[in-house]
Amino acid sequence: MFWGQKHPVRDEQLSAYADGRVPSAERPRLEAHIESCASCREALAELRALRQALSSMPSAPVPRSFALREADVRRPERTSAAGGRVAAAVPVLSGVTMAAFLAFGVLLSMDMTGSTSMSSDKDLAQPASSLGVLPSGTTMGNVLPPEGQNYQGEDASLRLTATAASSRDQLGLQFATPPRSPTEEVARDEAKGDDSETALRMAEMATAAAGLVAGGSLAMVWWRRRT
Amino acid sequence: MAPLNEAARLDEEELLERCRRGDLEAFNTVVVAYQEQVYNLCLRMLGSPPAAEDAAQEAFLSAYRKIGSMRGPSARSWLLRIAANTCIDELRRRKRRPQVSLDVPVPSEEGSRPIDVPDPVAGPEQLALRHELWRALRTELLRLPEDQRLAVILCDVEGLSYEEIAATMGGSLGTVKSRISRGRARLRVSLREKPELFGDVIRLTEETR
Repeated sequence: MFWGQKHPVRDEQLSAYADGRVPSAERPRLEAHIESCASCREALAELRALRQALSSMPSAPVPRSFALREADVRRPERTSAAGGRVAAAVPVLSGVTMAAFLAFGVLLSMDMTGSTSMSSDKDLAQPASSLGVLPSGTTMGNVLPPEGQNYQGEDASLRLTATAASSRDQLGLQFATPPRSPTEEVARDEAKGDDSETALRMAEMATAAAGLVAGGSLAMVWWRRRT
Repeated sequence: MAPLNEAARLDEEELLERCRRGDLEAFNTVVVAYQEQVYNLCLRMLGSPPAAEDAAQEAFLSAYRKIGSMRGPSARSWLLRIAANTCIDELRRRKRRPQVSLDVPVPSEEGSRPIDVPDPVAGPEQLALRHELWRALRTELLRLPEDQRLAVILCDVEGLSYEEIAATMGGSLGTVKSRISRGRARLRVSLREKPELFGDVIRLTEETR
């Protein structure tokens, strides 16, 4: 539909009128015209129907979550933005190197607390940063890869939760650090055990302590290569 | 599309503050809140689900990197702006590659979840016609020139104001008005060829005003 030259109202004015965007000074004249012009009334009806149809258009569900992973956003020059959270990937550790870390950690916590009680084991397993999944199936940057969050391989007596290492020299010490906040405690890192497990751990310690440094270095190299 | 109430707005402000400090978890909360809108904007602009997925991913990455410079009024319009520009860039890229087919596949409605249809008549036949109308609209939108397509989507589908659209696309309010008007005019012309679809909507819209 298009109007001859004499038609006083343009498409654009009707479009703005349908949006309530005609300046108040112009409105009376425009409304007077619409009232007397069938083609304008029809055009306006079409515009409103179109708007109504478009505004109610169905949405397709998202094919997947678009939450970003740590690996998506990491850049070489990036440093930790806030004191708390750390932009480091969580290493996937093999059973042996994990046992080595564990042994070192137990050793340290024993040193510090002078006991091999359950509580020090708990300290051991608590992560320095929180792990978890956001609702709706999204994943946080620091979450472990889906393959497994319980490393029950060789080290069957303990359930390990890997921690995010903020810097290399803190690796061992982190095991003895208490959690920063209650929210960082994760259900799965209840490192329950009993006396026999303690004995088992001590045995592991003895054998693994010697290989700790080598294991730790290997893990670090492997971690770097992977990310 | 209702405006956030005060409590929700304050919550979002706190969340955004955490985002600005580099908190990825906070950012992902924002992502989850708006990903459907962002993805659908990309889908309506680009036409194919894989292209929309790529564009949405790129938009969120870009948003994360720019979060420090994010200003109000809300995360929603800011994210839609980034998504819109990502789509425009992709459409321009496509133009520069002549071997890319310009016959864009129309996204199927499979899996689409209709939002609340404020329609007094909700019988199955009416609903079927309405779905056909939406399918026709999706096709016709993809035939519009990009700037008109984006302007109409932002205005009529996403409910942004002229000012927000001008901030998103650049240009003056006059340019925005013009793009919206011309886009709508083209859509009306093509829909007039389907009176069985459009006629009912016109009648119902007028009756329930």
